[in-house]
Amino acid sequence: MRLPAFAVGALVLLPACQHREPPEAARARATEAFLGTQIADLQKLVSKAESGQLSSQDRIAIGLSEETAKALIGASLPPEQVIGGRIRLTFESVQPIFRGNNAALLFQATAHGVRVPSATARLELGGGLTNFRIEKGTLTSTVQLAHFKVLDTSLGEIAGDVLEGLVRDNLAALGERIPALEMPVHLEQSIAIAGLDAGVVVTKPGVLPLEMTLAEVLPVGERLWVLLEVKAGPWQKAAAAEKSP
Amino acid sequence: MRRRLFALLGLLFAAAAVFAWLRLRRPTLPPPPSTARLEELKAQRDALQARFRQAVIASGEKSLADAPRAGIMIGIPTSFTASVLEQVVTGLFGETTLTLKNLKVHKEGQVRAKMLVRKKTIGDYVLDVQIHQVQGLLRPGKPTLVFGRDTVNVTLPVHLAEGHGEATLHLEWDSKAFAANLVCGDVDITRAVTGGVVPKDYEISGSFAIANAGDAIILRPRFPDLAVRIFVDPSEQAWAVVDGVVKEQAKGCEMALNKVDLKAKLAGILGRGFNVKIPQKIFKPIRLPAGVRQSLQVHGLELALHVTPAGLVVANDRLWYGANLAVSSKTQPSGPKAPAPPVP
Repeated sequence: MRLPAFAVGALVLLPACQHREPPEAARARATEAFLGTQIADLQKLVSKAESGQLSSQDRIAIGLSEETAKALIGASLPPEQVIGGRIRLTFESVQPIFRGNNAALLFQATAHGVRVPSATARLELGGGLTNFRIEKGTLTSTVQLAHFKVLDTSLGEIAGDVLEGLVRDNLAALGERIPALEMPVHLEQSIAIAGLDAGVVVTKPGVLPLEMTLAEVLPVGERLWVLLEVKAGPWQKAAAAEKSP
Repeated sequence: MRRRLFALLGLLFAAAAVFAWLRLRRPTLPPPPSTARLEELKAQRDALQARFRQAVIASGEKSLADAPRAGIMIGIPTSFTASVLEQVVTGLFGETTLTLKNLKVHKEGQVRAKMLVRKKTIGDYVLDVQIHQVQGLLRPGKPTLVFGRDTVNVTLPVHLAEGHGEATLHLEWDSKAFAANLVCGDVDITRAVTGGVVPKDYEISGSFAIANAGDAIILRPRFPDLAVRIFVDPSEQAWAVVDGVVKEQAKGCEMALNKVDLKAKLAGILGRGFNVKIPQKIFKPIRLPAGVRQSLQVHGLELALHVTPAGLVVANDRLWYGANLAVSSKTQPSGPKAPAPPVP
């Protein structure tokens, strides 16, 4: 009875008997969805700004361009990752998109079979920057992967689907291996001023404590803007003054 | 019979295949958006971004358009910079003491008095005051800050107050005439006295240059030395000691010493004051607390950041600093890179 076995196999393969959507079409669809999100988020942001609810004036503003973010994240992309013991995935490039009040990241990656290295696929993984925070004077955020697409593959439709399943199941873990984006700024927590001991004139050193908190993150106009609430003082005197030569 | 069974199985398989295809097939997607549709959405997005920018500028971010465009831009509010400067300057001066040690003032002279028909020298006096230490505290007032082009002009009122000190008063009296020697003789007295400083107001004027320190904004002080003149003010105890020195002498001697007028002499020599120079280096450069890093540690990988300053703009609302970064890593992986996709 060879027929039932053949029949079951054929049934399993049947759903794959549809062509994968061309990468251009998939990308156009994703772009449309992303632009829709940007427009909706911007409308909220504009109404917040126009109604005077967006305060920026007394806050430190830090703006990171897409290009600089690309260089930073690109230089720190993780080495080859093995997914499910079957696929080697290599991040090739990243494109940050700081527009429409969305901090998105688009990764290009290639996948190779662990046992069959000649079997390759090209993937696009999308995500964003979340959980912005200040840690020990460093402004940092987490990369979170949200979706992906197999763009083209030499594996065939069926193996492409298997690859999609593997990546989908490991998407969160994969995201965790992408380093957090550290903004290349140092935020001091105090300003220390040396004193002076010039014999006749003695000034004690002191410290001006600073308190910085994250107020707003505004990814607009190809730049990631971060606004920091900052308070200075009160002045605190320290122990000794420097001896003047 | 066998043929019928195969036909039935074939029919069942065909039905199952159709059912499976219907259930498991990828959903039929609508046609992807056209390029024109995407361009329309981008235009809508860009128009909203421009409107947002206008709203932000209208809310007070006047200098945003003038800020140096660079890979990283840092805008520090002038209100915050003023707060830092004000607190640092007043904090430093609030903890400043002026201490004069081992100062000596000296006065000597002759005292002449009418003896019968003509004036004669009745004695010589030597008055020495050794100020062991006199200390004054500076009390700053509220500084006035005026932001100019690349500078902040600072005017700081300073009040010299709360001084105190200790000194030794030494008086020698050498009677000259026979009569004076007879009624007074010589006097050699040393007494400890206390005093303070005469409160006085000063004004310190200078500026901080707003400069680009490569990776941050730095405020560099440009102040001249401040000359302060400290006037020692003898205490009530000191005047009482002087009175006592005179009164404890014999009557004739008291009259002679009254001629010396010790109080006036003392006030005269102390009234000239003592110069103190407050050096300009009392002001220190102030590094504003947000700057560009020179390196980053990411997952154990050290990234070197080569910072190229792109400009510094001092506006009414913000100090803008821009820098471009080149990133390099010692262990950067090599290999072909995928072409970047078009950006939505």
